[in-house]
Amino acid sequence: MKKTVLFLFALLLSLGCANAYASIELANTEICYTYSYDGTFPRIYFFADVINQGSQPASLSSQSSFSINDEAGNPLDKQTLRMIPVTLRPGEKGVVFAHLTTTLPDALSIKSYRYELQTAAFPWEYVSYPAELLSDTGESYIRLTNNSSDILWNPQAYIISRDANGMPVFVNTTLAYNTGIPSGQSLDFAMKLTPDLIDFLKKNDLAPVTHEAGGFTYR
Amino acid sequence: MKLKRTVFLLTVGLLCLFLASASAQTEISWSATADTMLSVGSGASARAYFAGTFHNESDIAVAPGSGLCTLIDESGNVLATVSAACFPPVIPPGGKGYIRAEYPLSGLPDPDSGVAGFSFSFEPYPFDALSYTEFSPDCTLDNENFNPLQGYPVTVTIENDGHAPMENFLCMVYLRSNADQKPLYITETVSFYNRIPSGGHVFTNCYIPRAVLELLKEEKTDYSAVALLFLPN
Repeated sequence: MKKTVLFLFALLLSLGCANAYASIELANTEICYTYSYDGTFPRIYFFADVINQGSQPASLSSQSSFSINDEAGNPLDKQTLRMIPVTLRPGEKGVVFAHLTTTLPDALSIKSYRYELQTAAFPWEYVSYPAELLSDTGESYIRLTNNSSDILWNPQAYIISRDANGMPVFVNTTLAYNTGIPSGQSLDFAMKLTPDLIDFLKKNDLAPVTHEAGGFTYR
Repeated sequence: MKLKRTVFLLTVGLLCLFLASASAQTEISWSATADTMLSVGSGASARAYFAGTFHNESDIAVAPGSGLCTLIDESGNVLATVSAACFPPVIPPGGKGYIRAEYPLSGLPDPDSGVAGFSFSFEPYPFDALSYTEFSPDCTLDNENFNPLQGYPVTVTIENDGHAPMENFLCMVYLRSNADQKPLYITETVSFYNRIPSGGHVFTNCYIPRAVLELLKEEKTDYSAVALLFLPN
């Protein structure tokens, strides 16, 4: 009897712990396409909305990955998945993405892809800052403004572009490493959402219609 | 007959003048001074930092390209060669560039032999597709905020006083001897791909290894931190 009670207690405890774990899962169908900026090696883009189904804040671990495979399912190339925001509160939605620039000269050899979402042991802490999208004739820029009284070191800016169905069709983030934005000053980040890429997306029924811009730094 | 001969000689003469002129225009003349070697650390962490100056003595712009730093012993034997980088990547006629190299001394075949001297070598080529304007912005060496991964920061203030946004430029810092103005240590170059709006300013950090500052202090060497900005025209 005692053993049964102990076993049930251990089972309930482990279930409780599992429930307290953070869990990042896919919230919608993913989007994957291949594009080349300069007609040489292709870049494979992968975007997907995710949600934290757990009861704790969650970040992606460095083991989270996106890979492209041959017909037999063997991985040909691989990249770590990134997420915006970098940490999701319980029930919060975010987006995961990868830009895999492959050296494979023949994009047709890419028969399938695979992704793995793994939660980090400890969530990242970050601070958000306001940003605005600047539409130029060339690349799109995000302007990040430091509205705090401190210097904003190593700032990152991001863009999330969605189509008419609300699907993420382009996501990018840029880091200004070893750079500090003084209080009240701004810095523009190139987001690589070029007119050619927008034309490509329109031709493939993935025309971006909304853009979300933001900035953050890690604590 | 006489006229034909005259025309022939004139043509040959003009051709020779043209070839000589063309040859003179593409002739590259350059030199590289091996200014300073700093040996820091010991054992597995022993490292040498090399600083030098590239002089473009031609009347055309040149790209030094990737260079080499050759280490020699007291007998003049080559101990090792390591890659050397020169910034900016394009040197205007009569201009100068800053050469940087580093080497883990534990990699020497005989660590006890010691490096007695060094030299730089390049294969520069004519290049006029890109040019840079050099600026010397304000900078401050922060002796208080040591970064264990990178060293002591030199914070450079980059101001955009122009009417257009400023982007795609290079930033570097070097420690200059107050006695003879030679470069003592040159940092790695920071490539700045983001854009500073017109009228705005930001900071960027270049780092000096702790061991370098400690050595200069030990040798009582007076120096100044100098920042350089290379903005493409």
